Amino acid sequence: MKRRNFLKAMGATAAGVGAAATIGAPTKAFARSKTDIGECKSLKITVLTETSWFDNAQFKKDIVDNGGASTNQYDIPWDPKNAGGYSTLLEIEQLDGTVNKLLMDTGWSNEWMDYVYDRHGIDKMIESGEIDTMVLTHWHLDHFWGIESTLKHNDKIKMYGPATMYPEDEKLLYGGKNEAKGVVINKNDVPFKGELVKTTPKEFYKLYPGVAIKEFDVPILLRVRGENVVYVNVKGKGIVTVTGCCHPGLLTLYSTARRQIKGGDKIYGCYGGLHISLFENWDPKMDDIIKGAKAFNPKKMGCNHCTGWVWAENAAKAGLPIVKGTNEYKTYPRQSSVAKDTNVFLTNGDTVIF
Amino acid sequence: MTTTKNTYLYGLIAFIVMIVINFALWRLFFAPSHGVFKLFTPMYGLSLAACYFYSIILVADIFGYKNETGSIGKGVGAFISSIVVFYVLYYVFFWNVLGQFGVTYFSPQALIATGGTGLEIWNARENSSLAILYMVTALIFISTIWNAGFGNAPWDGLKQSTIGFSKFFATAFFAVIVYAIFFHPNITALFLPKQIFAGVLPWWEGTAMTASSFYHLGWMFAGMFFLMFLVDCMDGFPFQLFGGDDTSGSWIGGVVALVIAVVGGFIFMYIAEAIMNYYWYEPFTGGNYTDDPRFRHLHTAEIAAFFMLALLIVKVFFNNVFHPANKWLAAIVRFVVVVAVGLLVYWFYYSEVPGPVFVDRVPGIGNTDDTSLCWTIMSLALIMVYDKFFKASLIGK
Repeated sequence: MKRRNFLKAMGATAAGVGAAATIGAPTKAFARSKTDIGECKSLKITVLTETSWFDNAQFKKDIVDNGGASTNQYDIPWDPKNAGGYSTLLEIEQLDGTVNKLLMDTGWSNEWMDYVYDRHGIDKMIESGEIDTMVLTHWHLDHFWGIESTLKHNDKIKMYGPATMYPEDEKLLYGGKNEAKGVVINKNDVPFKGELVKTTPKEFYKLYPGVAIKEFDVPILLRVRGENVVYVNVKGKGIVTVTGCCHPGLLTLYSTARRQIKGGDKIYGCYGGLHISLFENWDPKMDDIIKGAKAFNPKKMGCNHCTGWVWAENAAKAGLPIVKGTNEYKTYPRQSSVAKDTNVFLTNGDTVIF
Repeated sequence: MTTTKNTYLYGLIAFIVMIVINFALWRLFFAPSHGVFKLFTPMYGLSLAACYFYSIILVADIFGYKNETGSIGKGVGAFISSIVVFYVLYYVFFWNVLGQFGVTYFSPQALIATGGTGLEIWNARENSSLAILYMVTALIFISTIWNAGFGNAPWDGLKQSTIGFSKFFATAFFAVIVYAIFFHPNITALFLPKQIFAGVLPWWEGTAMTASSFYHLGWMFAGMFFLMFLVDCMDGFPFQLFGGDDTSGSWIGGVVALVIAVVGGFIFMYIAEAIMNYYWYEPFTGGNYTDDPRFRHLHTAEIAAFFMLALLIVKVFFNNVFHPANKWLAAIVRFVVVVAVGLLVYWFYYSEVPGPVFVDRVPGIGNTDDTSLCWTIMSLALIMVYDKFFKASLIGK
């Protein structure tokens, strides 16, 4: 074929092949029955600590130097000076006025968690049985490795944790230590002697009227798998999600509530890490979450930890009801390197009522 | 490919050896938890695998430098050439020439130097890797279309090197356009503020429910699967109707290849996403994991890549299995076999135990820190190295 003819013919046909029609999504998925988790009067959240680590750059460096996001958290010789922790107190007021207290997560550094528990009187609440249950959201270091700080006040506290735990998790929980590259990275001298409810996605675990745990079996970074989410149904207001990191995704939690919880089509809000911009970067996906969240029309969004200040700031600018924090965190001995005066995070010591 | 030895027996042996090499290579370069270099982060590893895949296509199919005569020296030379091309393309051209003197986002170092929001080594390298992945995908897509339909047209009869350079510049020219329209807007939206003076906002967002170019990755990979099937399992039908022998082609053949790639790609994506919708409900903007439209599009590409891998396994190691006189019967049976093997590979990768142990991953699906594409493309590249550079020496002669 002559080159001239080749090019002429190609040019003449080019216009006709570039515009393939795009195709929309076709079918509706099947529906499942809904679970009734009951109702409560209100939910009060106290941010015991959301500073899982203090220096974001150091935390990233520890991960990058040891292989990246999917590497095993137990293979990384973490900088111990950077360890803090994530832990939350939930106070659920029932319709009859009684109050249930629930601990969520137990942090990372024992030294930090001992300070936090002492500051908020959590240690005494655990010892007295006022807090008799802890929801472990997932097996990440900053939510679980501080387990000794809880167990030394009650080694029989009832725990809910994802069934997808690893041998290293069990070793730490039942009294032991783990090493990475010759460095001791965690330890627990108080073996757990209570009941561990291993959660799976098959059911809602009802704790109190209006409060239930749902496990999402998803793979997450640092070789961890599965996360527990606490759903709270506040009478007259709607569903509030309380999360550790929210790896399954906030909108997936809302969508699950709509599909699977009786009354779950009314979304009221959220509290916790939302795992959107963990390392303060940007991606069009984060715009998507802002747009998607607006579609659910939440009234009160409390976020912190792995949400990303950059996302929370942009979400607030875009009109999402981000609850602002106070400067209480500055009275803690250490602060996060990413904290800013915009206070779009509910930070250490802050409270919010739903 | 002519074979003189017992095709199936030697194919089976080669296939088993390939599994061992695959495991070793994955553990050496990519495995995120038990690996040595742990390059699967995931975009860095994925872009490396894709770039090497393109390098093989460039050496073997664009420049026509492959071992068809059983010359082990030529095979080794071609193999080394593909590695050199890969290294020069990735680390010299993208990271240190284009990224440093032209388009910032192709170089992690250049991105870090800007001091932009979140641009430290991890995010910068992932962003650069995504851009390189997209560029290389455009190159692979256009090269596949060109080889299937245009063949060596319109340079038939010229020296091989002349044909090679001509095809390279022609495919690169069209690939740059494909990249600019389908991928560049996604990259410019990765930064704060969005680089709207350098690229338009993702124009497909309304349709795709995401600004991510994974949408285009989905249909392009799907389209490439169809082209590979036609070329490798149907003896080049229908392109050979317009060309002649297996190297010459025509503009009609090229246009037909382009239409098949685009239309076939969208049909594949439609079917794949309909099935996903059935199992995981409809995705929604801002959803995570299987709820994420971005993941659904990526998963289309992942499924297509599984089928491509199945296709190469069936063709390269087992000589397309079935050889009846009726070519349509052959095509149907081969298609069924390829799809069945592809689904088997899919099951393997996403299984609870064997796949995750082999590939060193946490079981589950839809994790943003994981994509099967890296392992699949590495596997495709490995088989192509064997097929194009060494098979003639090991089995063919």
